[in-house]
Amino acid sequence: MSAGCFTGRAADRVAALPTATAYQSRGRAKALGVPLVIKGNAKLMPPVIEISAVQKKYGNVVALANASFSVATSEVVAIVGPSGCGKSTLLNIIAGFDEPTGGTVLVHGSPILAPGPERSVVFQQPALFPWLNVRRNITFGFSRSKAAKESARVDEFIDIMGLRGFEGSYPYQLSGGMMQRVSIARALIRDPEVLLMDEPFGALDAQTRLTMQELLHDVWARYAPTIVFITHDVDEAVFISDRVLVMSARPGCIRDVVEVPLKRPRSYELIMSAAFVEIKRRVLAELHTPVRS
Amino acid sequence: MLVEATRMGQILRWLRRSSGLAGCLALWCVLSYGGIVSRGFLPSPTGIVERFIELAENGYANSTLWQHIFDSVYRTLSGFVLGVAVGTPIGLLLGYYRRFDESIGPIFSFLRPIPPIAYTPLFVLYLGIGDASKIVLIFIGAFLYMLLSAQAGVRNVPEVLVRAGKNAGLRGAGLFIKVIIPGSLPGIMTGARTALSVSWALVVAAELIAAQAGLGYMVSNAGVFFDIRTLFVGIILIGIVGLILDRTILMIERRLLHWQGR
Repeated sequence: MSAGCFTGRAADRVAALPTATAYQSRGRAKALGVPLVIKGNAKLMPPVIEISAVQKKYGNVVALANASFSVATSEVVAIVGPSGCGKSTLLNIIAGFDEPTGGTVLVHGSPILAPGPERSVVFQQPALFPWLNVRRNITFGFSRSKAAKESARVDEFIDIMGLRGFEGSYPYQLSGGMMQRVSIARALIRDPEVLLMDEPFGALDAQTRLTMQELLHDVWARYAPTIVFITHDVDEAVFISDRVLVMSARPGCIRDVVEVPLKRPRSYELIMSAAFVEIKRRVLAELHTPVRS
Repeated sequence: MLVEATRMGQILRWLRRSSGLAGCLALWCVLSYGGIVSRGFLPSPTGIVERFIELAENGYANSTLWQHIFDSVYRTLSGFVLGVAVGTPIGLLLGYYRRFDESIGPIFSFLRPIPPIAYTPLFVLYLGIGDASKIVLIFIGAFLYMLLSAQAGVRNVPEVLVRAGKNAGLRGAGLFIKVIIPGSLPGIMTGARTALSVSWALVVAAELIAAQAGLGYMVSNAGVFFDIRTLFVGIILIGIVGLILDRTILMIERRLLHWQGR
């Protein structure tokens, strides 16, 4: 059934692999002005997310078969795969919108019981509340007093996301790219343990997409959030991540893990470099391998 | 130059918009003043204006003209406001809590296909021919309408917004208040607009059947006495008041839903 999928043993290999770039800086420390450099063994840092043998069936249909991987603090993991490979299912399980039919998902060692702001999601369609202005969309879910207390941080995110001057605007007055920047600000201000991004730039035009990917790098350089990023765009996956999980469909499973040992900060000229193309070639090769039966 | 051009455009648009009405009026004048149709069958425009002035000065059937208008509007708005106030929250709950819908939904499925006007004789028997019977009738009509549109409004809240709400840590009552209610507002307002025009139609119909005042009564009574000019004045007034009610609720809708950007 799960021919071609990673099993538990392989997953151990994934978890144990130190990545070259993921731990070079801790964002919070950096935000405080303390340059903190942690290098070397991933085992030093307990994983934020541990997924083992997770499975999801809808009736007799296996949407996701035996997925295992872990995500370390401040690591950016991209998940690529064709439609129907279960990548969104996987993200929905981590978010708590869906329950797995088998296996375990731990966030900082605890099982997931319900959706919550510590696992903030940026959805593909900009899920902004149309009746709230930009500022109130960003603080959505905060109590009145918390919103007031966090007002300095709200301003900080408004500046970083290039939303200055639009705080009072309503979603219908914004472009698609702006709406996604509001969504990202809303997710980040909650200080999540992990940022779950479900094809967040998939609905944007190519140029806006580029800007957004670079913006995501800026955000990472500042706050070093842990990110799980779903996409079907291989360039995007390699460009933004430390590690690419390649998934295939029927049954949806993780086929391979490709490391992205490219230095940060990254700029877009990188995608023409030989190193980038080589990594991309490996991801594409995995994507195209037919599933043995 | 540009300013003149836009002003010219405005004038042209205004002319276009009034051309249909003006055409009807012209045809009416030709038919009436040209003697093609008898005055007893179709009164002349000036005849109607004269009759309107008479009615405004002397009233009709023991009430002033304004009293007739006020009675109809008062009944409509009382029943409508009550219907919205009761129907909207119940409809929202029906849409949000499936179990609630399963237990009490069938009652409304049974009541919905009954045209409210069918209750008129019953309410006249119970409550007399005064305000109460009309207000209850309109309440029922508006209530059922609001129930349906609030329930549909909840179903039309995009799933992704519900998820975004849950993702912010909301559930149960919090999710209901912060996401479901504002998200249902467009559906509720569309429903309210239709409910108001249904209410206005209902009050006129109910007054036709049994009443001692109101525009519907005026029209009905004038018909009995072959008072064709009063009939026309009544019909035109019903149209004008209905239009004012609709424009008013449309204005409230635009204010409330300004975030839709229309």
